Amino acid sequence: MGKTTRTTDLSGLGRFADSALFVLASLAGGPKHGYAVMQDVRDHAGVRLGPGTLYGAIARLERRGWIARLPAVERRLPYQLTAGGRAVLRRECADLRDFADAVLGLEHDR
Amino acid sequence: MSRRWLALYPSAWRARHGEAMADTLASLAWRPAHVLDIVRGAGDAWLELARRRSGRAGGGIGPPVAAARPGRADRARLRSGASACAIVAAVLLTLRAATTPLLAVPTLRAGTAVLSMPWSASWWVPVVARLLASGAVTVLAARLAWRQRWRSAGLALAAATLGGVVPISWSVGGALRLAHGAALTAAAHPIWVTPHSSPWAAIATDWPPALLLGAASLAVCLVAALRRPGPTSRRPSRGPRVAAELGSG
Repeated sequence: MGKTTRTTDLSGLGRFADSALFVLASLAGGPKHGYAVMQDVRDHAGVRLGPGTLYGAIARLERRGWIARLPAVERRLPYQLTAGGRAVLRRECADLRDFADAVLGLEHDR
Repeated sequence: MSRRWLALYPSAWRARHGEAMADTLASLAWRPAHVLDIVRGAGDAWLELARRRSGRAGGGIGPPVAAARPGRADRARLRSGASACAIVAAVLLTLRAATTPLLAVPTLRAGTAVLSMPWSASWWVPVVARLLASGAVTVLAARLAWRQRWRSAGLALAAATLGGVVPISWSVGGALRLAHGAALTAAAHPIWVTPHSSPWAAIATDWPPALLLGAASLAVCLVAALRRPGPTSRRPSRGPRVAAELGSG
């Protein structure tokens, strides 16, 4: 049995999957431009996204229609979550919760 | 950070994300980690472009493959970059040749006095020259391998590159030393005696970096040759595709 990959989750993004999840989570709080996303991720997750990684993730998310760019504000281009992106984020969070529940259940059984 | 780092990215990528990323870079302080991240991100962008060009974009999501083809600007940049590398390498190799023991004969030295500047004997000159020469050959060979219709041609080209890079890396120094060795045998001129009195000893000291560069070049060419879509996955010509798109619209 080969590994199946959904085209509606982040697993197809390769090394950008984690950073894409951070970007989606950051944009869940409202539209932000790239530098604001970097700061948001650093403040809330303690992860420093480099500019190459950040825009690699943004490019892939935008191409899949999970985020969209808004008109420039003071020469800065903000991005916002789309309905598809929100669904992906919700599903990824549910998967993470299931994983955490499973691990905590193992700890509880010991 | 300077927006000049964006030059590492494909032109299509810069057209889409360049301004936004430039704005972010302007807000960032220069850090080695950022530079490495940008270089890595640029590499990913080029690989993504190559994947989409070969019709293997993930899940069929995204713009049509035709839109992902590198533009003329990218091709021209690649060609001019390789040409610049080759020219600089040729200049450095010439300068290096001017300081080889063979040309250190008094009569020849007078003729090459302009080229025999002290800095040209620095250790980094041959290293940089070899890297640039091998890089230029690798880029051009990889591009040719990509454009070949048959993979076997790409493999043959890669093998030829391995054979081509090694002579380039020690062509000037090695060839002159070979000639030097032959001259030693024939004339045994005392002025020409150098530590590399045996030509094979000179080659033995030069071949490890040459082999490494050749192997790297071979790997690049192999990847380029294998990534190219095979005959069964060749894309239809642009005419029918455009007609189909117009028809579906």
